[in-house]
Amino acid sequence: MTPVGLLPRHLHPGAWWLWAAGLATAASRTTNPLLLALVVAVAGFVVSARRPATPWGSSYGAFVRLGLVIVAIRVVMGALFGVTQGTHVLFTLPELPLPAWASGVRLGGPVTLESVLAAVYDGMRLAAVIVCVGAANALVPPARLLRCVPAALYEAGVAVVVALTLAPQLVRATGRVREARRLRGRSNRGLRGLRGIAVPVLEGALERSLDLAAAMDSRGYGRRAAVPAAVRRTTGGLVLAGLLGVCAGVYGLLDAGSPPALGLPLLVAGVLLAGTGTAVAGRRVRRTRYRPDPWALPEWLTTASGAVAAGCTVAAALLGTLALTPTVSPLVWPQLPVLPAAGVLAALLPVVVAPLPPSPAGAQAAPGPTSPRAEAA
Amino acid sequence: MSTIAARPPAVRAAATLLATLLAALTLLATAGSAEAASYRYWGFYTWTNGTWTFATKGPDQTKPADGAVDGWRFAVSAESGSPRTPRADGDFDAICASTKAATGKKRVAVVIDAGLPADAPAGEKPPAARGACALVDATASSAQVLSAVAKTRVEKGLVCGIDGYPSTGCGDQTDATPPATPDAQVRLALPAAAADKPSSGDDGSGPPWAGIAVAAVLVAALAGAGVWRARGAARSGAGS
Repeated sequence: MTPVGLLPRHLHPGAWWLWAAGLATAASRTTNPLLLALVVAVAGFVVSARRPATPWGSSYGAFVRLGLVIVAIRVVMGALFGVTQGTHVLFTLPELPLPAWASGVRLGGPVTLESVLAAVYDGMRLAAVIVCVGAANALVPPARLLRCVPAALYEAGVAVVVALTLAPQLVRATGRVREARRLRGRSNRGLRGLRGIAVPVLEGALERSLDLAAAMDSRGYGRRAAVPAAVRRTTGGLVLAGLLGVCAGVYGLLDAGSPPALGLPLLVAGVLLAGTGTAVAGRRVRRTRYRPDPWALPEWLTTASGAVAAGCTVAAALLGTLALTPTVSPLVWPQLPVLPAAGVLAALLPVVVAPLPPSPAGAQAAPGPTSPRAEAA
Repeated sequence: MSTIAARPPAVRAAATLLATLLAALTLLATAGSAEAASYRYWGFYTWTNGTWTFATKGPDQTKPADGAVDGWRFAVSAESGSPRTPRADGDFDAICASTKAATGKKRVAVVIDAGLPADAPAGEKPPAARGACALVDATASSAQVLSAVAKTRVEKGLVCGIDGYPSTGCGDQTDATPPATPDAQVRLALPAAAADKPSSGDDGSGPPWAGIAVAAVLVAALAGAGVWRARGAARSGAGS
C-alpha cells in the first residue's frame, strides 16, 4: 500500500516517537483490557506496515513477549503477595504466618478471581506502554534517532552511537573466542573459563575503541569553538536551574498537598529555562548533518494522530468515563468506551499518510527525499 | 569569526527574565504554608471493650472472631484529630438476634454508618445507618464479612464504596473540615427476621456483548493483518 504521491523515504524519527508517546499516554490512562489490546494491535499493525528492513525492525515481537512476561509476573506476585479482594475464591495457597511486625504483608492465602483480574489489568497497562516504546524502537533504528539529538548533547550522542555500533561486534568477538577455546580443548565453564574469555574480548574491544578514537580525531570530531568562560558558566547555570525547576515542578504536580504555584507554572518555567540554556549551549558546537530528515505534512499528521489518541483518552478520563477503569470488586464485564477507542483507531493514520521506508537496495537510487506535498507546505 | 561569543542581547534578556521568574515562583511556592488536609473515606473500626477502636490492620488482614462487631463509618476526617466512629454501639446480641449460628461458620455483626449529609460528597445523599449480621466461614477476613452483607467497591485493596455510596472516588482530599462537636448517636436499621442478604449478582443484565464483540473483531483483524504482513515481508525478503 503505497501512499499516493510519496516517494519512499524515512519519516522523521521525532514524528514516530511522538506518535508512540501519544499511544503510550492513552494506554497509561486506562486499565480496560479491551482498549489496551486495541492499542497493542494498532501499534503492531503500524509497525508491520512501516518498519524498515533492519534487524531492529523485527524487535517488535520481542517487546510483545516481554509484555506477556510482565503480565505473568504481575499475576504471580499478586497471587502470592497481593491484597485479597472479592469473594470468588479460585484456589487457596498455604498461608505462611508472619511475625507481628510484618503484619502488613501477606504470603499465600486465598487467591480470588478479583485480585487476579486486578493484577492482569495492571500488568496489561504496563505491558501496553512498553509495547508502544517497542513499536517506536522498531520503526526508528536508534542510530537514526541519534541524528536528531540537540547540538548541546552532541558528544553524548556520538558516544551512544559508537556504543550501539560496537555492541554487536562485542557479541561476535565473544563467540569467536569461545569457539577458539573449544578448539584448543579448554573449558568455557567456571571462573577460569570466564576469565579466559573476558580478557581477550576486552583487550580486543579496547584496541578497537582506540583505533576508532584515532580515526575520529583525525576527522575532526571533538573540536569545540572558542567560547568565553563567562558564557560557558552562564549556560551551565541556566541548564542546572532549569532542571531543578523541572524537578520541583514535577514534585508539585504529583504531590496533592503542595501549593498550586509549585506545580505546573514551575514546571513550565523550568522547561523553558533548560531549553534556553540547551539551545544557547548548542550554538557553540559546530556540526553539520548529512541529508537531515525533513519535517513535512506526513510528520505533522503522524504526530497529530498520536496526540488525538492521547487527547481522546484524557478527555474521556476527565469526563469521568467509568469504562476506562473497570472495577473488579464488584466484578463487571469490561465495556468498550467509544471516545478512547475512536482515538486509538485514529492512531492508524500513519499507515496511510506516512511514506514507505526505502528498501535497502533502493536507498541510493531514490532521487529526492521530499514529497511534492512537502514542497508546497 | 567567533560569532558565538557575541550572543544576541535578546537571548540574554530572555534568559534573565526566565531566571527571575523561576526564583519568584520558588519563593512563592515555599512561602505557602501546608495546611492539614482532610480526607473523605470509609473508616474501619472494631468494637473492643465497649468502644470503637480504629483498626490497626486492613480489613483483609483482620480476622474477626465469632461474636465480634466490625464498624464502618464514612466521614470527613483530618489527618490529625480524633477518629469519627460509627454513631451507634456495637451490640452483637441485638444485631445478630435473628441469625442462627451454624457449625463451621462464625457470626460477625457489621455496623455500616454512611455518616452525616455534611460528610457526603457533592450531589449524594447518605443512606441510613444499618447493622447486619454475617454468617461466614470461620477463617473469613473482615473484607469478606463486609462483602457478605453489602455490595462493596474496592480499588487497590481500599474499600471505596459500600452499598453504592459514594458512587465515585476513593479517599479523596477535601476542603471541608470535620465538625468540632462529637456526632450524636443514631438508631441502626436492623435486619428483619428473614435474613435479607443483598443479591451478590449484578443487576441482571448480561455482559455487554456489543462492545466486547466489536473490540474482539478489531483486535483480531489488526493483529491478523499485522502478522500476515510481517510473514509476507519475511517471505519476500528471503526469496529475493
